[in-house]
Amino acid sequence: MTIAVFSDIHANLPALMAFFEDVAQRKAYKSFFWLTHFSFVGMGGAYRCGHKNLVCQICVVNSGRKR
Amino acid sequence: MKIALFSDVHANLPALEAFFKDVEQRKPDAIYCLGDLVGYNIWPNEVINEVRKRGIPTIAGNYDFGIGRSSDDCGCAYKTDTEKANGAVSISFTNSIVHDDERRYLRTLPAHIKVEFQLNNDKLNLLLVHGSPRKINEYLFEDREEKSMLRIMADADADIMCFGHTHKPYHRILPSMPEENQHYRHAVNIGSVGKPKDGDPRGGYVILHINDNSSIYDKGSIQVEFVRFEYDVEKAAKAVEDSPLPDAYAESLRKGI
Repeated sequence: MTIAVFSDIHANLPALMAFFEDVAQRKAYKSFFWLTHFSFVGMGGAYRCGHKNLVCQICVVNSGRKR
Repeated sequence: MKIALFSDVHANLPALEAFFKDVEQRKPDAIYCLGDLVGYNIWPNEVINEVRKRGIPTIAGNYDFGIGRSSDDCGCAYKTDTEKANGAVSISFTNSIVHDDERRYLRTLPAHIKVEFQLNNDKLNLLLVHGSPRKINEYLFEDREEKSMLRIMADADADIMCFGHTHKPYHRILPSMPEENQHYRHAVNIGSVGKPKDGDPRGGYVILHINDNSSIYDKGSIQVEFVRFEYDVEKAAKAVEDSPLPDAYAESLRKGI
């Protein structure tokens, strides 16, 4: 599974468009900037970021349960 | 913000295509899939790839979990011997046609997605699961005892919990338990795109409306819109009949049961 995570565009449209072009070539399974909290089965590690109205968090955990 | 949630496509490509047509007109801000892409029809690879190419965040359903691991058990609660026999044919057939890359994708699907909103200085936790937070194949029917539903949601810290698996849509607004501060929790079964079981053969999904006034203290501030859409049921049913799958699944599609 390939997951693209992007952030801090800061109103830079040319950069955003170039990002979309680039990421489309890589065929990412998911791309998102305002999500959330994923729990996966059978892996380890975690990633966290914050945004104005949303807290974004990806948790990669064992047995599908939050660690 | 409009969040579209769909689930239980179950390899029904005509239904999925009609869903995309319908949902795209409504211009949601986000789309999530709550699992069970495969099983019971002939297009598991096509369904996976249509969802995948759109980059739609998807969680594993019990059928995806089983097929991802080449298991002969989908974790389904079949009641009769006939249902069990039909189910065995379906999982065997699905295992025989799913390709390696698609199987690998199913195997890595996450179990849950949690979206934490920060509105009005309060948190609003949206939890997306397939069956329940504690079990991928737990059936949360509409008549589940209120106390039990609240306990499940409180343990998972879910203010809004959206799920599928039963293929029967509903929205229950539950006042919090007495030991908690007074607020409301929302339990939402989003129904099924490709194998509805509520007597309506049309596909179904949900649009969740969250706005800047949405709050756990105002039960009307979170709107759940149930959408139904027509699709070519006959094409999906005929595909079942022309395959090794049991004809009973074709009748289920025609009747929405």
